[in-house]
Amino acid sequence: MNLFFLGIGIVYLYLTYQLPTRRIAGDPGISIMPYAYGILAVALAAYHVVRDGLKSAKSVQWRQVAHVGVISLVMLVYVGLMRPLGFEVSTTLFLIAVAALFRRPSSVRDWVVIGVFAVVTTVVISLLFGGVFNVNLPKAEWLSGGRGW
Amino acid sequence: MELMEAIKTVFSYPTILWIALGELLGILLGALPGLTATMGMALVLPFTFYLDPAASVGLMLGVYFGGVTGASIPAILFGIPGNPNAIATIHDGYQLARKGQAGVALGTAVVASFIGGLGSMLILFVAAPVLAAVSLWFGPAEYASLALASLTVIAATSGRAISKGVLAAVFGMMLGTVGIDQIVGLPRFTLGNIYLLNGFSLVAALIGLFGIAQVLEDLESVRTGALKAVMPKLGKLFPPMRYLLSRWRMILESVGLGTVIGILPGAGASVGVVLAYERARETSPEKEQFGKGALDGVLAPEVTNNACIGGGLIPTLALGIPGESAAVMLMAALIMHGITPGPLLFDQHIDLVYTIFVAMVVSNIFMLVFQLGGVRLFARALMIPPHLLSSLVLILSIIGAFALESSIFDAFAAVAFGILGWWMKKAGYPVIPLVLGLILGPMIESEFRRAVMLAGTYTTFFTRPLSLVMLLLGAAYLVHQIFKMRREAAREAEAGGGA
Repeated sequence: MNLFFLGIGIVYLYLTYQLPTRRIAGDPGISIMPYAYGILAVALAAYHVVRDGLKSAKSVQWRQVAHVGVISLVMLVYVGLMRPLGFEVSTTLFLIAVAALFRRPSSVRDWVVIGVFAVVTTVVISLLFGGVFNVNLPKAEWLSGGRGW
Repeated sequence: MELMEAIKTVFSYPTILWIALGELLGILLGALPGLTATMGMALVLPFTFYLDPAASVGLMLGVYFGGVTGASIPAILFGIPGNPNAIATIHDGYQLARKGQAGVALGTAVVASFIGGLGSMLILFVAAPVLAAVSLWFGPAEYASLALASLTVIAATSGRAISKGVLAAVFGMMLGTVGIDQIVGLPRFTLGNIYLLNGFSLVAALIGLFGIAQVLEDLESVRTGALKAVMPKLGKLFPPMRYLLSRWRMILESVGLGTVIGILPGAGASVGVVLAYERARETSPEKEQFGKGALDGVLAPEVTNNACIGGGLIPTLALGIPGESAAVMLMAALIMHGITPGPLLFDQHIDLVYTIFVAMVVSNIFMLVFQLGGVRLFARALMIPPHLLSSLVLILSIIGAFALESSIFDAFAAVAFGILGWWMKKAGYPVIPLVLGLILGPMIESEFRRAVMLAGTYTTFFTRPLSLVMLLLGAAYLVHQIFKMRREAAREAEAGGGA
């Protein structure tokens, strides 16, 4: 995390340097605060990198990181597939996947419970957001001739 | 006149229904371990876009009050804090449940929460307009200094390492600079992405940091097994009226303490309940029973945690500076409707201010009725399989972020903020300074530049007395916290060496 903040701080300072210098009379300019934030972020992150060293990396529970990584990947894939597959199909698949990842089903009954939960939840969310709140939920591209929503 | 209009608005359909729904949802979420009032507010935040401002505020307040009070259910029945607001209630509430007095403990918690919420609302009713009137004297320099000082205090209080809190706040302010500059109108840090021209969606950030991050954090406990909860017998629910009347001094003290803690940026209800518990232990006639099942050990913290709500709303409404995460949610709901909290709110939207006061009273009444009437039902919510519940929270978070602008980019942003929030917590970085940096950062920058443009010099922040006082207070608090943490670290090292 310390290295992440350090990297972000350096990139941010570089982008600040690239900002146009145009300003209106008396205005300190659009770069003044970003410079202050960037310098402070780099200084603080560098302090933590030096102070903590690799201490935090050693205490990482990689098994937990792997689980979070898989769930995060499933979420990103779901958002990416919402448009091509449509809301209903992608959400049902997403719910089945995450519920099964959260706790591995050990029997046919567990799969049935997860399946029913996924379908019912998708229908309720679809009715609530699409019907009540008039949100344009993504329609499947393969159903709507490739036009998305 | 405005008060009568506000009463009419709150009691009209569908506003009253949204408050009731919010209250039910809040109690349910508060009762489920790991789900907090803040998370509940993050989940309903996108819905408020489709409601009118009064209904939005009513829904959010319902979730807030319900969530804070609902946490006492698992704390008392099973010894598990629904969220940090209930950490002090466990000590004696759970002991009372083990003695077969779960009903009285729950009833006391609910009545105490009702009194705390109502008491702090009365203080809010009196104090917020006064503070707002005073703050009309503020110029850009004072606003920039106040926002910076508040952010410094929050950053210095939020985590175990002050530098990490400050870095999180700075990172939030960096994210707040993304988008079109408010004064010159030029895009900054958008990397050519049109979705970033208006900056990061506040709703996506809040949903990710408080909804998705929490699910990721609880992942291991969800994977390793469900909560094995067995419902204890509740018995009678109402605490004796004679008992409540005899504790009037403790109640008043707890209301005052909770309100003050709520006003202070960064302190939060979890600090307030511990202080209230300790104070009650000193002053209670049954002090020897503390830790073994003292009703006062439930009463004082439960009055305090709800009193913090009203206290937290004072700087949010009067100054536009939220002191903690739930107040941020309420502020975000108002901003989504084009209403900016702050001194002008009392001038331009006084009707809404009164609506907030009345909605708080109604929320409290609903909380009392629903929780006393449905405590058995809410306790059953603890039996919902956690893996299904976590999946539900994830899908509501993602769809909530998407729904506001029908934007896939915002859904991606919510997931990214969720991963960031989880990672920050794992690395010991507090998340709240980041959120407040994201909100207060643009305000600090624009007021800072306006102040310099008006005065023509950077020294204006030090030559204007109010601005100087605020900066000095912020700096003094930061130095105080640094020394305090050093002393604590030295004490811990000494204790470790001694052992």
